[in-house]
Amino acid sequence: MPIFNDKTPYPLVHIVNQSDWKRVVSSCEGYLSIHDYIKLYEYLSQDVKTVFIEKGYIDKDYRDTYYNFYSKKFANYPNKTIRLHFFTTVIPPDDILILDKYQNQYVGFSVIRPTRINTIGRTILDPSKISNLNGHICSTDYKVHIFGAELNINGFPYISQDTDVTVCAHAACWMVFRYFSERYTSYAEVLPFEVSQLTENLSYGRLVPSKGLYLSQIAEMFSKFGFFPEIYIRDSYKRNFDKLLYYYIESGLPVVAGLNKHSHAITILGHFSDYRKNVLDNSVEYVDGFIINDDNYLPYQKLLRRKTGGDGYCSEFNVEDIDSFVVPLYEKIYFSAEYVESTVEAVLNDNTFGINALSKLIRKENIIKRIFLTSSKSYKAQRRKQDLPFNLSSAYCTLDMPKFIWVCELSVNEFYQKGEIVGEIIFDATANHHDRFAFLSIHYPDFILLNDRNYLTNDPKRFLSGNLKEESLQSYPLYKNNLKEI
Amino acid sequence: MYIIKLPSMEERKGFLDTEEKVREAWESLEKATAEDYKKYDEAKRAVQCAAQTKLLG
Repeated sequence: MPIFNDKTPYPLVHIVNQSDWKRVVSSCEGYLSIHDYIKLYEYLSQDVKTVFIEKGYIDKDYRDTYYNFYSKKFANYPNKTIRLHFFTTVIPPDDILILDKYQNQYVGFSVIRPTRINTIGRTILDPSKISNLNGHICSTDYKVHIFGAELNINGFPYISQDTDVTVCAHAACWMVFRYFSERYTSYAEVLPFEVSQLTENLSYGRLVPSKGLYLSQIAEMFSKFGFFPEIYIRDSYKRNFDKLLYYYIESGLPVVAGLNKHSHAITILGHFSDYRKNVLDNSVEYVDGFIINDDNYLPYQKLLRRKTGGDGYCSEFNVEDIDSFVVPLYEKIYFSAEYVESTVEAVLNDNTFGINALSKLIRKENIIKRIFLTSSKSYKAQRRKQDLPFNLSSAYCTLDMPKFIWVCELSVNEFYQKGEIVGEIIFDATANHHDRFAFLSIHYPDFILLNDRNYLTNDPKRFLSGNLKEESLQSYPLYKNNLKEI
Repeated sequence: MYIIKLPSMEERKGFLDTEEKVREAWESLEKATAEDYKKYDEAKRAVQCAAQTKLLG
């Protein structure tokens, strides 16, 4: 008997084969469309052993679109949803009041909304509990309550477009917004109908039913949410476009990307990389593709650099199809990635500050760079726990820094493959890109320079520098905080 | 105050020890980045126009 409590609002289904998934569909009483059932079945059937069905669930995101839109329709649209909880173990029906006992086997949940078309609503799944997913992603913790028991999921939010109020661009924005509002208290939660109304001052006709969004409208929505967005278009940035996208993803900033040729928008939330490769210059060379949420599929798809050759849950698109993206920057990040990269190159090649001029232990030609943005708070918190050479941990922890910093870590193949670096350059993210002394520090294996950013003049006292007496390269762990490995 | 011990100005032995050298270092970085910066300034202007023509969703 694979279904239990089926006469109650809380059925529990043990999954042995596909026919058991059909019991989940029948228990959803028309809420879950056949198209979406097939998506869930193909995505979860390998891992899920129990589905707990929570009928009559009041979902804040669906309620928002219900009251503002669906309640005005002639046909009946219920105001409640059904929430499906997925577990990787067989749960006895007597345990439904103590589901927190199965925290380690909890994959996450999916809200099924009675919208007839595209019925998968708010969904949070832990990618580490789903087969064939791997990479580095932005993720945060979400709390779930079932009969008073609290469970936790670490993942990235997903929602499909309902094609009435929201289209793919709204869904992609919602995923970014919900990630930030869940992770940082400084961002307020925004519900789907509210997302659709964020362009009311920049609209071309009525907002609902939606006809799609221009890239400029997406940027406007980001601004209304509280970001200070930057737009990138492949045609304008040409060969640097993919690299700049990677720098922001490596910074832990999910972006909304446009696939203009396909009139589609997706969320990019991570990357997957092969660190066994020998690379020549930049950590972007390790990247085989990005991790995306495409609202037409389930979350954590791989977007490959090339059209073929990928294994796992792969997108029908590839990296070349991305022709634009909007990055959600914090207010005080004025120095953008392209200028940082250019300044890094200039510093490393310079006759005064360059690595060949100042280090006897390493040559510019052998350097691998990894550029990312992070908060100085997180950077200091991680560095103070680590034993860095020359008491650098103390130097960085006591160095005055702005809220956000750009970091260019320096390594060589031998160390990078072990997750280690030999130096770094730290930049003030609030700097104007025309300020050529935007760096806070330059550390090569046998040299360090600290720059007091408060100096307005060319007074040489602004710099503190010294040679570090070392005869061989000393490596230490690279910074890991922006993304989570799955 | 930095806990790491760094040499004093007297010990820097000619490295960035005058205003002239600091100014030259700035100019060197300015020259090295000028071409890229010009390209990116133009790209940013082009993006402002293109962003109003790309319809998604």
